[in-house]
Amino acid sequence: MKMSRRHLALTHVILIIFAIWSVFPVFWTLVTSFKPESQIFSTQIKVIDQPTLQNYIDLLTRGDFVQWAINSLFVSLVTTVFAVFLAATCAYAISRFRFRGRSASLYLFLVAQMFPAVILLIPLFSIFTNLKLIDTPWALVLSYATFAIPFCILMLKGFFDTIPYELEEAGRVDGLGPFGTFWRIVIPLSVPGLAVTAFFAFITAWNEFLFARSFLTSEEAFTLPVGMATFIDPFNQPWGLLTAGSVLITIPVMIFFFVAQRFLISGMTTGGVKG
Amino acid sequence: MKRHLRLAGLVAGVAIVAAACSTGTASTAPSKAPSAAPSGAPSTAPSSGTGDLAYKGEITYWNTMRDIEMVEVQKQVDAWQTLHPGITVKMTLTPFDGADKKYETAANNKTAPDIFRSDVGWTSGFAAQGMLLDLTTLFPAGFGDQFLPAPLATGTYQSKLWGVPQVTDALGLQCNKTLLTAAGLTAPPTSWDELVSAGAKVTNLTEQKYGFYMRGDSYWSQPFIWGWGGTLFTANAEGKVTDIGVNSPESVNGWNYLKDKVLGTVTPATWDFKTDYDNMNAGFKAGTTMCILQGPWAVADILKGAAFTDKTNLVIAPVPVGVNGKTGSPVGGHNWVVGVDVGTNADKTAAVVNFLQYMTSADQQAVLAKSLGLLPTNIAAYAVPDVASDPLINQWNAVMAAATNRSGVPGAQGIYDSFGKNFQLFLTGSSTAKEALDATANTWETTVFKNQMAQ
Amino acid sequence: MGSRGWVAWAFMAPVLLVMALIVFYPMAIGVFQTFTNIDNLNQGTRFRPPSWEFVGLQNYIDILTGKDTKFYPVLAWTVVWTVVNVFFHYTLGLLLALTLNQRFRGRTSYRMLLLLPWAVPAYITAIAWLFIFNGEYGLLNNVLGAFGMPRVAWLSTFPWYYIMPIIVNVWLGIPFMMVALLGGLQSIPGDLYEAAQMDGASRTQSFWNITLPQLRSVSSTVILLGCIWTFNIFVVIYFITGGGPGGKTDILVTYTYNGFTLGQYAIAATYGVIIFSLLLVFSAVYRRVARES
Repeated sequence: MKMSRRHLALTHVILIIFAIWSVFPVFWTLVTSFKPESQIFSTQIKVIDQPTLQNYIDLLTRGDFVQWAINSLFVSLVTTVFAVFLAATCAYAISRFRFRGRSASLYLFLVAQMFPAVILLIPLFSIFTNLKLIDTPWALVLSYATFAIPFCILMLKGFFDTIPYELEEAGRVDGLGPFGTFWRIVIPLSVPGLAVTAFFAFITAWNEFLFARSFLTSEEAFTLPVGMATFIDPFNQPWGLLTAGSVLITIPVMIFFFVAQRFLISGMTTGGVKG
Repeated sequence: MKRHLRLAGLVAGVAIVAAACSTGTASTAPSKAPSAAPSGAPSTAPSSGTGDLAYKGEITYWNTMRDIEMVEVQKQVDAWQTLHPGITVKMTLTPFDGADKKYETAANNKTAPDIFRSDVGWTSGFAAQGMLLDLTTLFPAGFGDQFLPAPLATGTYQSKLWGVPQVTDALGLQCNKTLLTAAGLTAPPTSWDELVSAGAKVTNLTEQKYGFYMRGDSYWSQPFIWGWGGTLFTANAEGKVTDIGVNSPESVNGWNYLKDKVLGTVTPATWDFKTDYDNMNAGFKAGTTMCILQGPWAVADILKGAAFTDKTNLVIAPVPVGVNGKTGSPVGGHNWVVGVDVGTNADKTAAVVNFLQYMTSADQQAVLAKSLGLLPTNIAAYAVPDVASDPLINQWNAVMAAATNRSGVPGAQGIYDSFGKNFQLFLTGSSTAKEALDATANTWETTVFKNQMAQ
Repeated sequence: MGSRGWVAWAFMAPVLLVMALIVFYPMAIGVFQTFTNIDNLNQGTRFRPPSWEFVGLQNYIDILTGKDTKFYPVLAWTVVWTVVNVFFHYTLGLLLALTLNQRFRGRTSYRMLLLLPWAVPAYITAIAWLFIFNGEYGLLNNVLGAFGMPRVAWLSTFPWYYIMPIIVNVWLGIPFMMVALLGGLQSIPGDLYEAAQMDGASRTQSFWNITLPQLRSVSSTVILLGCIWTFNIFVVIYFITGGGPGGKTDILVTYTYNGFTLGQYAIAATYGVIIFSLLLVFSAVYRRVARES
């Protein structure tokens, strides 16, 4: 159905309004990061007046920003690999095998998201202390992967459901075992679904703040959100630094996002979120 | 199939039993509390300067200062290390927010730092739990006399010394001299009535020009309690609470004065509580606010404001009086505390004592006073030329003289949660002053001071 | 697809192990604590022996009978918070999905821009919104001031301190719904619409009679997930209002977290179990209703 002119105009109006609303806070953060501190607290509406890079310079010279970025990157990438691998194997089992406890497992993964993660903080801290994982990235990798996995499993299960089993049967005929068909046939066909899952796991890890603050104690181990929080004390929120830091923290996610973008849509549409 | 389900059930069962056997959040078995004083601790270390210390190795120090402040402290640390080769002081930044919890957790897990910069409200709590090394006999005789009495008291609990005072502070009235003149004043107002009547002349609420800017924080509400003869709570020498006075009629009067006379006249009637600290500073720095209540920790940042390029434009005075000449503001600050485990190593103890003597010496405190505007706790530091000639620090003396001591009751830092929430309910009109203060007193009695009431 | 049980469990084992360690074991500890009066003063540490006791169901009774005066008000607001947010997440997400489901130039660019709230870290955008709402220097007030309208202390004034976090959370949650529903829309067979058109059905009729029913499965899943996530979302309230003023905007998770920071471990754990149970019951009822109709 070709769209009428009026319909097209209406479409654009709606989308423009929402697009502005979507982008606006990010845009405003970006703009603020280039303002000198004195102009940030202004009663006038100023977009760009005297742009300066001072906030970025301060950010990179104070504290160990580069080290924190490396830590965040490490934690996020390892979490992503870990979570995607575990979720994929599990989702495959649920999708392909009929076994007792299958629907119970599915329900379990739904239920696991209901317990507020913040409440697990204290017991987890004890557990990780006993395992000597405090102040290492592994405490975070384990935690983040565990919190991302249930949703990833639900997503990937739906995705695997759409891949015809005949392809795997053909693989079996060729002599592949169950893991072989999984690895050689199903996985390559699932790139969009895996991309969505990877993106979700990555941003879960990259964006997380509370657990990182609790489990990391030494400055060299901080991830970006925790490091940024050291600039803040209850008595002082340096907005210039915060906005500059926010911009820098957002960049890797944006990169990942643009790269994975077309897979994101097709991954969510095929299979994706079905009951 | 069945076998696997049974196995899963067995695993789950073991997990439940294991959880049931654990004694709560810490899983180490309780051990006897170590004795308060270490055996054979020498106290012959010289007061500062070179001297051969037997200890060689690392001393860990968690500092809760901001990173820009720590740069200055690092210089002092480096200097001390040069005097004592073979000892490294590993100073790490611990964000202030939540640092007490972090320290407690570390102490419970035997990973506490050797030295910790403890807020004065935390020290007695750590001491009561046995986490700190008793410092009473470790320093030379008369060591404590060199300090101002109020800060020294904050490091004392049950007549023993647990913390060496590092810095002291209190809220003072900070004003913009240009605006004071515009309001017809030659000096900062001495009473709230005076501030309200004079401040009205420079106030225009729609243009965001204020005679005063308030915060929705319980710490900032205290001048309106003490200034009317109210109090928070009273404790005895053992650190037990004998009386909770925060909801006395005087306190109620003070808060009502704030609401009826101050809010909406010289300061907005409502404002964002979450960001009021930044807004208060920004308005003051920009020269649109005449007076604010603020502490010495903020002075370095305030002087960067457009209104204070001429430093003499900033004047500091004691908190205005309320009724009957009464005033008060809570004394804050920080102590150096030493972890109890240090006491097992006599050499390390000596090194730590030496370090603390160095850092609290008049010269070193004067350095931080000059570079960061922090108030020394060492009396002699005020006589050091750099400090004596600093007009702002001299003005703070008057503030500290009028400031109220805080009682060293373990866990007292827990009062602020309910105190602050009820203050905000009062400010937004959801509660009356009496209701808010009664609720606060009730929470303190039943929760915060549950085990600390003297009975 | 055989019933080779052990293969399936072999695939599932790693996930189940990790979840047992990170989720179920701490949960079990938490549940255990709800039957005690453990707080930071009576828990056993290396410095003093534990002095906590079992209290049976007392914590639950205190909370559910209202002896803890905060529970029901916070619960009420949490429910309102969830319902309002998910309502807007769904309707606006559906609107955008329908709009994007057409062919026109620039649709990929719009899609990218509309997904932004999902990609950017939530605590960063929460802080950005916090600053926009700032009562003295925020952009919103500056714009109002420029038009001569009065400035408002948004985060301390009723009813705005309820509305502002909702605006932020709706903003945060739309992209997910939009993409999920877009996926659902794209898998609706086109001939259904063609047949309807030939029968003379209008656009609105197609929407109600074809689109919505076809979206049932996706819709019910995303609404359930949305409810669970929104009920428990921590960062928005924490960073925007801090639960204030005076604790009025606390939802159950932020209130519970506050209890933890004050050392009231047993009570906070009890809240956690109650939150969990509420969601469990809700999801069970929801799925039963969804299956029946």
